[in-house]
Amino acid sequence: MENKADIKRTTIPFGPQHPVLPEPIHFDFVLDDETVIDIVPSIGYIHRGLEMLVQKREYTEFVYVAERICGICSFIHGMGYCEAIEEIMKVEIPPRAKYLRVIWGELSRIHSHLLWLGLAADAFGFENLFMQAWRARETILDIVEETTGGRVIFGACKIGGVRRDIDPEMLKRIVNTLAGFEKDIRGISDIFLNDSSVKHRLCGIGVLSKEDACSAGAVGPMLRASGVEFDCRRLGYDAYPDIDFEIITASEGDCYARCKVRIGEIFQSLGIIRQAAGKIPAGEISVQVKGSPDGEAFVRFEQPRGEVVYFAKGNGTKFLSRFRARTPTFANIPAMIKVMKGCNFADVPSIILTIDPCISCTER
Amino acid sequence: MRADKKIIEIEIGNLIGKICNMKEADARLVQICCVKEPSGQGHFELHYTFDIRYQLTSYKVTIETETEIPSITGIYPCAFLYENEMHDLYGIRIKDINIDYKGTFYKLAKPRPFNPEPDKHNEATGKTERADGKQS
Repeated sequence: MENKADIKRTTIPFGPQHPVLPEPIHFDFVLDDETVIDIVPSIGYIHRGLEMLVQKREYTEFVYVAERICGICSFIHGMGYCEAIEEIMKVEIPPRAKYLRVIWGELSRIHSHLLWLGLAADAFGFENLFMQAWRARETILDIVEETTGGRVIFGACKIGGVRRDIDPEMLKRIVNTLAGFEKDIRGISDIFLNDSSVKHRLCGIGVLSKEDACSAGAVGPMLRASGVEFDCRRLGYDAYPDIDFEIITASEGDCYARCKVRIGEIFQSLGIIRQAAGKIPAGEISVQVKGSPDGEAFVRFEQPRGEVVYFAKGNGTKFLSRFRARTPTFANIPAMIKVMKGCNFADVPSIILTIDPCISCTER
Repeated sequence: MRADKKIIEIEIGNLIGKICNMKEADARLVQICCVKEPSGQGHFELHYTFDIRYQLTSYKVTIETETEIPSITGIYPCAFLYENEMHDLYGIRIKDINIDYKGTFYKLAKPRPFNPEPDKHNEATGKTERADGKQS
C-alpha cells in the first residue's frame, strides 16, 4: 500500500499544447498539494536538424537557413553564422557594415522584448497591456520592413558584410520615429513596473539567486536579473567598442526583476541605435569573399534571450563539416527547472514566461 | 581566432581533471558540442567550452566511435542537456549522466540522425537495405 506522502503527490502534465505557452515544450510537474516539488522537462517535439543541413548546402547559401532557425532571433542567427565563417576565413568587414549590423541587431532586440512583454501580460491576465505592447512593436517592425524588406526574416546579412544600406535620410527618419516610440513605450513600461496588480503577480515569484544562476549556466536577462553583470556585447564585436552602454542588471532575481531588465534593455537599445546612427561612417557595406572556409571557430553574441554561441568547422570545401548553435533558451532550461521547484503551481505560467523561452531556437 | 578565446586539444583521460580545474576556477559551462569527422575514419571531436570573465576556453577531445566517455554532470549538473543531446543525435556513449533520458531527449524519426548507420547493399536481392529498415 502506498504511504500517505505518495498519495498526496500529484503529477500534472503541462504542454506541449498549452494556452499559456504556444510552443511545444512539455513538463511533468510533481505537486505536493499546490507546491511544485519536482519538474521533468521534455523537449524535442519539433527538432528540425537544421545544423545537419550545413553539410548539404553551400556555405554561402546556409546563411538563409541560419536566419530561419527562429523568427524572432532571425537577424542575429544569420549574423552569427556569417561572423563564424568570416572568422575562419579571416575576412574583415567594412566599418559601415559593422554599424548596420548593430542597428538591425538592436531593432531585433527591441521587437523581441516587446513581443515578450505582450506575452507576459497575457500570461498574467492583463489583455489590454498585451495589446499595447504588441501595438508598439509594430513601429519597430515597420522600420525593419522599410530597411530590409522583411518583417520576420531580415535577409540583410551576408558573408563579408550586409546586403542593404540605410541612407542618411532614412537613418534620420528612424531616429525621429524612435523618439516618438520612446514616449509611447515609457507609458507602457510605467504600467509594467509600477502597477500594483502586475507587481502582485511578479514580485517575489520564481526567485533565482546569483549563485544558482551561475551554477545552472543561465544566460541573458535571466542571469542579469540575478545580479550577474554579463553581456556578450562587452566582448566588443562589430561596432560595440565605439558605443557607450551600461549592462542592465537587477538584484532581486524574481519575475519582476527579469521584466525590469528587459524593459531597461529596450531603452538601452534605443540609445545604442541613436549612437550608431550618429557615428556610422560612410563607405562600402561589404567585401568580396573568395575561397572556402578551412578551420574552426567559436563566436558568441548577445541575443535578446541571452548569450548565443556558434561553432563552425570548415574543411576547405564549399560544404562545412559542422555548424552548431547553442541557443540561449537551451542554456536556460536548468535554471528554469531550478526556479520552479518550490513555487506555487498557479505561478508556473508567469515563471515560464519570464524566462522568455524560444522553442524554435531550442529545436534548431 | 580572436584573443578572447582558445581551443586546447586534450586526451580523454585528462578530461575530468581539466573540468574539475575549470569548476575550481569558477568557470561557467558554455556548451558541449560534438563534431563527426567527415573523413570516414570513425571518430568524433568533442568540444567542452567554458567562460571565465569573457575568456572562452574550449577543450577538444578526439574519441573513437565506440569509446564510452565519462559524464561531467557530477561536476556541472547542467551538462545533462548537452550529454543527452550528443547521445541522441550522434549515438555517443556516455556513462552516468545524472538526468539520463535514455535516448528520448529528442523525439526523433530515426536513431542518431547526425551519425546514421550506413545503408547495406544486399547482393542476393540487388536491393539496398536502409539503416531505418526500409528498402530502396
